[in-house]
Amino acid sequence: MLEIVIDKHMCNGCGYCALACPTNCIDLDYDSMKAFVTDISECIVCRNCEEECPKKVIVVKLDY
Amino acid sequence: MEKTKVLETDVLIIGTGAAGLRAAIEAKRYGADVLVVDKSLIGVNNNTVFAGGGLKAALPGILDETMAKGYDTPEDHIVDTIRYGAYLNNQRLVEILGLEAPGRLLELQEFGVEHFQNLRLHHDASAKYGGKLTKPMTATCKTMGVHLRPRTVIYDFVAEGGEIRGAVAFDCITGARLNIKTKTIVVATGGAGEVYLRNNTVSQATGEAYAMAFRVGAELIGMELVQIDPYILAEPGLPNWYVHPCKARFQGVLRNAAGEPFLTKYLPLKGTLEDPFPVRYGVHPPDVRETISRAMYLEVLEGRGEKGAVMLDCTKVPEEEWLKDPADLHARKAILRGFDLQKKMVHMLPGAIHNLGGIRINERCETAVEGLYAAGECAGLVHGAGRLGGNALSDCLVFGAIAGRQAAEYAALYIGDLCGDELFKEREVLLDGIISEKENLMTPREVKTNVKSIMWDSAGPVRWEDGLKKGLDDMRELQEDEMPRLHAPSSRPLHMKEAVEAYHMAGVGEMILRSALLRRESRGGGHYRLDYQDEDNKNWLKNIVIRNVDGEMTLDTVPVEITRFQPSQHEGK
Repeated sequence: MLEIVIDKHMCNGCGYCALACPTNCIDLDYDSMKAFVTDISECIVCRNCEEECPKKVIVVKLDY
Repeated sequence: MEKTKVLETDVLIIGTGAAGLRAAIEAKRYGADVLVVDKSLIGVNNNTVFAGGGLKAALPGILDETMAKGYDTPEDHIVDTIRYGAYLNNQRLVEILGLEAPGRLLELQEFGVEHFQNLRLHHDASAKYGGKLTKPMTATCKTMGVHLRPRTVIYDFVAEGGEIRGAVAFDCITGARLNIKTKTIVVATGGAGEVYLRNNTVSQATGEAYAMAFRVGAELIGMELVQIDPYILAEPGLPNWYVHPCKARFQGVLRNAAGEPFLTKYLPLKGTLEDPFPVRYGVHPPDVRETISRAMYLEVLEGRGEKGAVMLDCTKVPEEEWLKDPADLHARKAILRGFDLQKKMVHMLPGAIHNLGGIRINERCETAVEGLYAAGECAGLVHGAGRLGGNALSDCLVFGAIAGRQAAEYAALYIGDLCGDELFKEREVLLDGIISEKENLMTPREVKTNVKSIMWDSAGPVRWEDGLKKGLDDMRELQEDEMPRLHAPSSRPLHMKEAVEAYHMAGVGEMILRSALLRRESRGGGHYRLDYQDEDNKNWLKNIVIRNVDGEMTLDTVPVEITRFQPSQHEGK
């Protein structure tokens, strides 16, 4: 399966993951100021969000 | 409101793909103070990063045969590029591309790029082949003292008397406004694949630089010419992303709903269907992708599609073929995610991949606006009406370097002070409009989706007069009705970024629609008219140029820049 796991407690709402995503499948929720996955089906597993997260609290889990 | 911050520089470079980074290195070499901005992060989210990994140049025996054919001489590269461009290329630019590409590729080693011969070699488990270019080039920029500023959205240019003065921008994380005062700008923003519903480009590729350059007086050339890539997934639950032209896919066969291998109607069969693609049809898939795309789209349009798409049959591809290339394995794991290609056929439909036209440049990358330079995909017209696979990155490196040098020289000879604040204040009107309170508001995503649907339905792989006219009417209606309601609050800068993109996407869409309507012929792979299916050298060996005449979008035709290669010299065209 494919899953983008975000540690919401540790997320500082910087939005870098949303900027780094080439397919708009991760975004920043301005109400909670936390990153969230909008559409996992669009994920291409480039791991940009994982790599660019300054807090290192995003993990792209791919198991196929 | 927060006070607007002012940045000053000699050379402002927009975009951090191969063209932008190469321009930055070159401008810095020539002693300029260089500021590079990207609306995303630096060298992370652009079409270079996700490029298939091919580079074309006359480096025989050095470049890998499959992905990045090496030519024996620059002349061969030039001739092939012009042939695939169906003679709409600016031949001066093509000659420079052919002559300079080998040197630009070899020097990549100086910037720490490994495996420049084939970026797909030794890659990790990701599709970011082009990241092997951008990462070391970004590091080189840092070492050289280039100022890099990520998350900076430029939403309009500032010009005065036909000369560039700067740009208005904001930080899409903090929301802080910026006035960037500069002597010269290099536009290296890539294309506008995102104006199409189906595309194979990063979501950043919204093409606002076309609209901004047009507003300040730059000319745009060949905007109707859009390259469409065939192998984009159309399978529910899987990304609309492409499966790289990997070795296993070379064995696959495209079929329509009835199971017929329809491509043989459009490409003469040279071998058998069991042969790999290059033997089967005698051509490489990246070099005939427009033909394949058009065939796929026509099958669906004429009612032979299955759920609005065609099928790629890889059921006969032996398992060991998949194991040969790590790229195949990655595609199967990460993109296909358990979809069993050996049991089922997969839905495919084309998508936009490359804007062949763009901001009109000459051999010094100059535009019609003094101090404004363009390089890479956003510039035109190197590739003509069809682009050879592997030429995109070569184009970025060759013209990026030229633009960087020219901009640095222009800045060095610049006389006078940087411009005052008043002109910048005037240009903030777009952003003020977006954040202002209004009724019946529309979100940026809603407007974007509407633009993308209009463009895909009317100016996609197959075009015709009524469809284009309807698309144009729909786009004008959208501009009149929806655009005034486009809203993003100032407290949500990422939404402001998308609103700016949505605003400019509609303008770029109109350029493509109007140019496509004017070109009453079909040519190369970039423009196919159902109502004018033949190439018409008598009337249409011309480029369409868009100019801003007193705020009006005006279309003209100009003769193609021909240096040595007449259409009659090849293939009886």
